[in-house]
Amino acid sequence: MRMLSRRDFVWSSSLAAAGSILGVRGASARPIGVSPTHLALPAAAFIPEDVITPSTLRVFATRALDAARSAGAGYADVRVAEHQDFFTYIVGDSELPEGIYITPKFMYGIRVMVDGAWALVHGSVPHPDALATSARQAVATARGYVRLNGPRQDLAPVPVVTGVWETPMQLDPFTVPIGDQAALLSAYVRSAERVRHVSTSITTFRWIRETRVFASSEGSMLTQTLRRALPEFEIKGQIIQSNDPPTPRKLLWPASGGYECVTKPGLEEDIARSAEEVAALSRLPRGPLPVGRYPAIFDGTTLGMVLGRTLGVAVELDRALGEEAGAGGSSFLSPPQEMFGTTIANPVLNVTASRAMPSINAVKWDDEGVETQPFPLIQEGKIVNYCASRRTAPALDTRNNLRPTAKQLFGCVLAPDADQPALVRVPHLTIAANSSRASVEDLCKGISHGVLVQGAEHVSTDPQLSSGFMNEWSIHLFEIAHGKVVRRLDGNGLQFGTRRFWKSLRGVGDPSTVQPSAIRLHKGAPDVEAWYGSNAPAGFFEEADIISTRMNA
Amino acid sequence: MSFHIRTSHGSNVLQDVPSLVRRVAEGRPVITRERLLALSHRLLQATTFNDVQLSIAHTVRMVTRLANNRVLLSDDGDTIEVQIGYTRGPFVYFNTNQLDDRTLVAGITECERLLRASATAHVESWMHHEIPMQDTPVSVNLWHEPTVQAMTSSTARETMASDLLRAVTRAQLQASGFVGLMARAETMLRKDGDIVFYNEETDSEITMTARSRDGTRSGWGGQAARDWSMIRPADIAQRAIRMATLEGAVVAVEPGRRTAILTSTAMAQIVRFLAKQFDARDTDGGETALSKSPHGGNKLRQRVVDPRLTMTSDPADPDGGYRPFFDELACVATPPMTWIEHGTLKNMAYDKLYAMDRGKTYADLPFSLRMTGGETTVDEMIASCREGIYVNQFSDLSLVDRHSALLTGVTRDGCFLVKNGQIVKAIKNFRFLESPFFFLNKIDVLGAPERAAFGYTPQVPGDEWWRGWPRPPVIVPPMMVRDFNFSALADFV
Repeated sequence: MRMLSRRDFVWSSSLAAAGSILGVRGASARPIGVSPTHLALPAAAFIPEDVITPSTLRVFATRALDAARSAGAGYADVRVAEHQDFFTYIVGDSELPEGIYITPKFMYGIRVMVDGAWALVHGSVPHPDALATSARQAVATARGYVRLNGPRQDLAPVPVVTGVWETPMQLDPFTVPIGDQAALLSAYVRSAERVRHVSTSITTFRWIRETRVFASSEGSMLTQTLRRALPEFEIKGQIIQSNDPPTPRKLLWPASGGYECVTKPGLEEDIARSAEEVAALSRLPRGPLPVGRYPAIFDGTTLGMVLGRTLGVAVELDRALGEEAGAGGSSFLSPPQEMFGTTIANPVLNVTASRAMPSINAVKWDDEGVETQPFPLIQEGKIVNYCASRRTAPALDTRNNLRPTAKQLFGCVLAPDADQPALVRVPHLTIAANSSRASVEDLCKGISHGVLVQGAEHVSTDPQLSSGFMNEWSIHLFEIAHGKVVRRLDGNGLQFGTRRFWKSLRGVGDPSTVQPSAIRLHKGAPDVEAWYGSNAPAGFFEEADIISTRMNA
Repeated sequence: MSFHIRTSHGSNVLQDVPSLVRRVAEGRPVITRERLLALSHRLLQATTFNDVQLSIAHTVRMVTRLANNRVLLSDDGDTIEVQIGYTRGPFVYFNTNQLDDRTLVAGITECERLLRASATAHVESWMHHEIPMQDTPVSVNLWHEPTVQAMTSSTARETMASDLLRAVTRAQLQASGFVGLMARAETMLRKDGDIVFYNEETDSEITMTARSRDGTRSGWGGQAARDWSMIRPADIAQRAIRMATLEGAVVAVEPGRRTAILTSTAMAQIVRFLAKQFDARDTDGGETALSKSPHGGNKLRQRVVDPRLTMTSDPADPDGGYRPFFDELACVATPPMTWIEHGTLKNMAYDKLYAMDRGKTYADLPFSLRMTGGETTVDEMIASCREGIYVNQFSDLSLVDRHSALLTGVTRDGCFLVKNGQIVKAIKNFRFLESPFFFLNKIDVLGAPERAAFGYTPQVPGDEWWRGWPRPPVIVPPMMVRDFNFSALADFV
């Protein structure tokens, strides 16, 4: 059980509500004085010097595997990690950080297979004996389930690899003084708040540095040093007196890399331009749209998020095979053997999945030791791949009775923390943009009466992913009339049937419309969250079902 | 300025915390009280400040996942959390998962160095109030030996999994499920060595999903209990099987406002969104359904739900007790509270700083809640229903509008048409759009409250505040309500 304190809420969830937790709206917010000594220090100064080295991690991993094999495991693998997490935030445009959080962790997860039964044991004690004991415990537990395991499942073969990889990085955020980071956050906030009607609430930088070793009883030994950036910077256009909900826009996104993720050239101009845009949008009149079917333009963030939440999750093979039925749910793209090659969307939809840089989950080898590579998921509207693991991939190979092949493995397995189960997660999705000119304005011009959907933060679906729902607390809806955005919508939502919806996609925008999306989605039991991301152009849908969410008691 | 430094390095803690295997062999998965207190005293001696509160918690969790008629995976492990809170001056909080002296003394030393540096720089902080600390001991009784025995037994989980799988496969259905057990020991000590809080707790939850081979039907059953011996696997399996096989082929029924019979598990999915609604700061700011208006004010002393309903939270609740320190930063136990009494809003949850600001009693959000009901059984509700929808479970809920607590989600794993006192048809699932503050004012009949299993319940907008399993107990009644808004068909199984 891990209770979520209000602190954790700040760094892990949407910012709009977070303002209330620290009392920003309450009576007691006063400027905070901080010792100059602290601000001049980088995060590295607060981390004990004797961090666990990669070679020690490899020794731990080897001990675990030796113990598992001696105890009789047919297969074993281990993920062991030394993890540093540094987080700082400012409130408003303060140059002083409100708080500094430094969380080093050591975690391991040992997975064994005994006669087809699987068991995982995880822990946090950084001692080889602890891992060895856990490995033996895992084998004993798995043995107990052998008779309940059903038919044996072979693992798809993968090459045995030894290697080292580090996330490419230009500047280590752990060496940048904390004061400089707060000053940069403050400068970005001021850039935005210079524009009338634009505000921010809590702006954060969060940096992860993790050395994770993967080792398998087949002989693979992989050491990766991962660098993640999880900044949060959201601006809001809002005329305070109106009491309308704000028109927000995210300006920084999760990525792999170093401090350069938050100092990209052109970012300040981006911020200023976005501030003008959200301010203009927040000044539009507001009202409800009568329910009905309307053509709809989705911005890149929304198109990518809806794609990931529906089709992306639906092609996670374990889910399509029914393994999440009692948890996250099933998939309407099932059974997978029959769905291969079927048309699921308009031919204008082409989607690639990849764990290359700079996506948040970028690695060279996944958490099963499989080398990652980009692969097509949807080609001209047809399903051409599922996201598989070594254990589930053989289910796709029904055309002959030969041993399972590895061709369906692209490195999709992810344990967000080393002590969690390694599950299939769809990698970062890229939707191909239109090679002809098609900006959002161009797409809107063709619409005499329709809606613009921007800035999705959440998509509700059903457990089989065959329908969905979004409304003004998760997306931002605008009315388009005679080719122009004229009103913010109030009291409306959008619902869709997934199959029908993707078939009604008529076109996508050009590269100028491409935007990122990032959301945490859950699966497993107990549920585990992981980041899902996308880069997508805007999309034009022939018909979206606009409903009313106005309810009286 | 708050400094939170967590460290996790050190070595050779094994003499303090013997391996899980050994602990299991000795019949007690979590660290003993004696060892815990000895450790705590030792650490307190390393601190030089006076206003210190130290807590150490050890949690062991064992999970078995079932899918496609087999055991998919088991996932076992333990976590150690050490928290040292300095409550005067800028709030400094040190958290680690290692138990060796070197790590902990180093962490304590670093925190105190920072505190001293802040003090000499005349740090002024809005958190510079004196945070009150618990000064009377707190105890709750949440430990049940049968759960511990199930954790230390080499066969209890296997037998449970086997029984569940056999029942469902015998009925020609596909089984998925979850078998989870947890034990936790923790202590909270003040600098003078007085025990503020010692707690041992256990919890367990079993859920089963049964799906027809042709993929057209699905049913669910589940139970949560701190005492493993109260779990009835036969009942759980039977409920899942019954929901998946009752009344044959599925038909679509027109969406709309209808009478709904909601089981206690369906109600638990709704109730989890209530916790944040009682937040005093948010409510006074106009952000919740208990606000007078979006401009602010609250509805204290107004009737907000049916007068038959009373909602309380009590750490000593016989069915739903909990450790009264939800907030890791809490230095004071959250007290028993009556939130709604006979339908009238009686109290809200004031966080520590807002409570000091407003001169109110601190209380944390009601993650654990008991909702009093009536005595009608679900079968009696069905028998008295002229026409309505029976809902076994809700799923994929999220908040649609904070100002009215409007929620959306779908029915799942068992949805039926009731007519003239009988279940007559299995029907397709619905999406719903409803607020508890609407339909809890349209109650026809209330049943007896019981602790409900949650099943798969990830964090979502509107319910981000609790992470992980298990969730605190929620004791809610099944009920029959009027005009529940089944807003659209949801064509999934």
